[in-house]
Amino acid sequence: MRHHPLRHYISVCALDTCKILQVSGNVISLSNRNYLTAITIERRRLWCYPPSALLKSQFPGVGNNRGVSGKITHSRLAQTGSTGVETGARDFFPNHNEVFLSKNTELQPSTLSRRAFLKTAAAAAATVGSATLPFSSLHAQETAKYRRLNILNPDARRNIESYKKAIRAMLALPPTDPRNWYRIALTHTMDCPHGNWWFLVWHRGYIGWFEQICRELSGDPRFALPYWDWSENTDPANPFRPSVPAIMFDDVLTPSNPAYIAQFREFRVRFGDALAKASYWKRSYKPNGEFDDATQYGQLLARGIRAPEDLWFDIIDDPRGQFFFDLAHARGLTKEEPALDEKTAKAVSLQTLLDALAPRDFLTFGSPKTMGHSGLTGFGVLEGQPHNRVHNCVGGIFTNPSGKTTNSGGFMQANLSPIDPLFFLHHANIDRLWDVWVRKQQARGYPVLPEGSDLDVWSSEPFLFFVDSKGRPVTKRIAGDYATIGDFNYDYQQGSGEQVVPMTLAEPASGAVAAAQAERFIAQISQSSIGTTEPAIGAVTIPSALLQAGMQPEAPTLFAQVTIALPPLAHGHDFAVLVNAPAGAAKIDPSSPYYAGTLSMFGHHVVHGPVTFTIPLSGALAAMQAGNLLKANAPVNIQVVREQVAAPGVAAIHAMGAKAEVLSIVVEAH
Amino acid sequence: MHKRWRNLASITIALVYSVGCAGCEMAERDIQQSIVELELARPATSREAIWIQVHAGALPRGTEIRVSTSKGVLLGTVSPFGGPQGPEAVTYIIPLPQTALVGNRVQLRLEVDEPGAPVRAPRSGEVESINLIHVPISH
Repeated sequence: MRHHPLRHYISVCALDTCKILQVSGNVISLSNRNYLTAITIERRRLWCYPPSALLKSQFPGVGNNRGVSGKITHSRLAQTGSTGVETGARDFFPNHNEVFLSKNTELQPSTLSRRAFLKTAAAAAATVGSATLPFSSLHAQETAKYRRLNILNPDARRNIESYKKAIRAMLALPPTDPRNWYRIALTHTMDCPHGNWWFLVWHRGYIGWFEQICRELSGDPRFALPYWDWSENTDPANPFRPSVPAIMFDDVLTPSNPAYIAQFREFRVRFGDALAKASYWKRSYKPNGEFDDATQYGQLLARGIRAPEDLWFDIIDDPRGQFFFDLAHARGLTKEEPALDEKTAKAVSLQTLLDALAPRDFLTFGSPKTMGHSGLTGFGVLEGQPHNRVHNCVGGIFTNPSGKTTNSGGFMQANLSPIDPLFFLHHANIDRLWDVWVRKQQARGYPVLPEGSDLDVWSSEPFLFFVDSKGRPVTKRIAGDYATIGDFNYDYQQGSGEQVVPMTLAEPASGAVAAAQAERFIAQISQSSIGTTEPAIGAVTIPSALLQAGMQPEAPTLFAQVTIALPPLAHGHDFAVLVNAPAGAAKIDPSSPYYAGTLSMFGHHVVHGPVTFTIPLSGALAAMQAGNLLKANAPVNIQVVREQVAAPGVAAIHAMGAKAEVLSIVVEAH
Repeated sequence: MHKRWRNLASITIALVYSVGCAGCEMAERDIQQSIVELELARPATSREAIWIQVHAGALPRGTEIRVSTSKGVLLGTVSPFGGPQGPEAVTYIIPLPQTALVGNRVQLRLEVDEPGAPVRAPRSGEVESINLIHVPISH
């Protein structure tokens, strides 16, 4: 029997749902949630694929319900979420010793390179119009020692329980211990960068060391922070309505729990002395006698904190807004009303996320340059939209549907935000999106960090407040130490935004797509008139291979050309184009996965004849793909509806009696 | 109403303030809104996106600026976070859907959401400038 040792480098493929179910002798059983799984070996790594796209000629035995061979089996147990199996081979091979796969007559390391495999599979899929393309990301995350899971993943339950243990332990530590829950939050207060280019990297270090402290104090050596994927549409049958995960209102996962300090007065009493005596205030001088700015005290002075009293002023006395909130106002959103408001829903929508991930350079993706990390210059999309708005919304700054804004308070709205345990899940998602962007950049050959002299400046910025799992100052004390995930050794379960990382779109598939570029797909109009509430409706069949390819980079963009006859003087008439929207959808705005665009008359011209508008469909289709709202081989339903004016307190403006009629809808690929 | 706008290179900004029509519902609404019209200096290439750049002055805690199309479709929010802002304006970047541009122009509505107060137009210093920027993107 021939064996293939996989030393140290076992990697389960990036089809994130793939799991190792069982290891018995030299047999590894694999599954993912929906598909049978096949594996290949390349570069001493283990890759797995849904066999629906494998070529039977290359892999005999694939595609039947027995898996690749009798040795490699499959199971659907993971679908139930009740198997308790773990993701990641290292969980099964903690010593990283040799692992043997049995000799398999079809799956040899040199049988087919991974790229060639993907090429042929893509070609096959394009040829037969398969609804399933087996693309794993070329820049899939390497299997790390720890995996940060979506908090809604049933497998994250163990991490959540460990998180609770860690929080309780940190709350119980004396104020003199820098791992105390409030001391960790105060590190954020004293040193966090916002509105500048160190935002991402500082928070990576901050939550990375925090995770290690959790590991230590929970007694769970496998603990990894869960992340909160705010953009995930958990109910694709209904309009996107992001909410705080229900579990985060349980026990010590909410700062409203009695285990937390109830009032500022008590906080001041308990921490006043410890803070005053902490090392932060030590004055150090260079050999030439100059004060050393690269010290904790130097960093505090940079943000105007000269003495403990300044810190307490910021925390409670600043008339512009305090940092500390009493127990009753510790978090703005509640278990009864956990939903984010409209502004926040827009900020975390998949479209905003994809926009945030689109820039080709670090400074546009991140936030602008400043002289030091306490400076506030500006916010890129990722920081300014989802990051800021989630902080403020969870922190109680909320605008209700009628346009009324209230501020009920909550730690998340200010710089003591890490007192709310949701902070770390929020920032794990931010960090995940940074990782997504980096892998996209790598795949496309774009820079992942500031360039030239900027990189030196950025990398050398001192981060001096982090402590390790034992509460000792860390030795990694500059931003450059956290430019990569590095020794933190975690990766992420894939989540929203992952689609921007280029997939392998092999030449044959590209050819197939290119051939489709000249194609036009004409919708069958079943309802042409647009009423006050009734839409015009058309259905168009688009080859599924083209729809799937629309998710890939360099793939053609799909547009809908909508020709509409409007009444003269049709100003004020706007029409939204919706894709596969549920019947009677009352409010569709750009945050909805069904929204494709708006037909808007502009100017004061007189309409004399039909007008053709071109609306990009790719964004809506991508959102629908992400939400599993596209059915294979089913016609795409396109509706044209009168758009409601969404300004608070403003009624929709319609010219009563005006008729509009959709004459044609043609989908084209460009 | 008076506003301070600056840094308008290559951008045309026209403020539309409605201060008349007292007693008219439309006028009341318009008083609470600022409509700005921006024009692109040049069209975006296929490898660029057009985004909105807002230079915002210091806003009280909890106060935010909602940026929408002139028809009220929300585009994004100026939502401060972090320590108190100094005297310098801070930039906020908001993606602009391609479909919002008509003939290289876009009309935007700026509204201030302030806790416990009605929606209103930005006051002097709250929005120092707003413009459209070309952003190199990877798709």
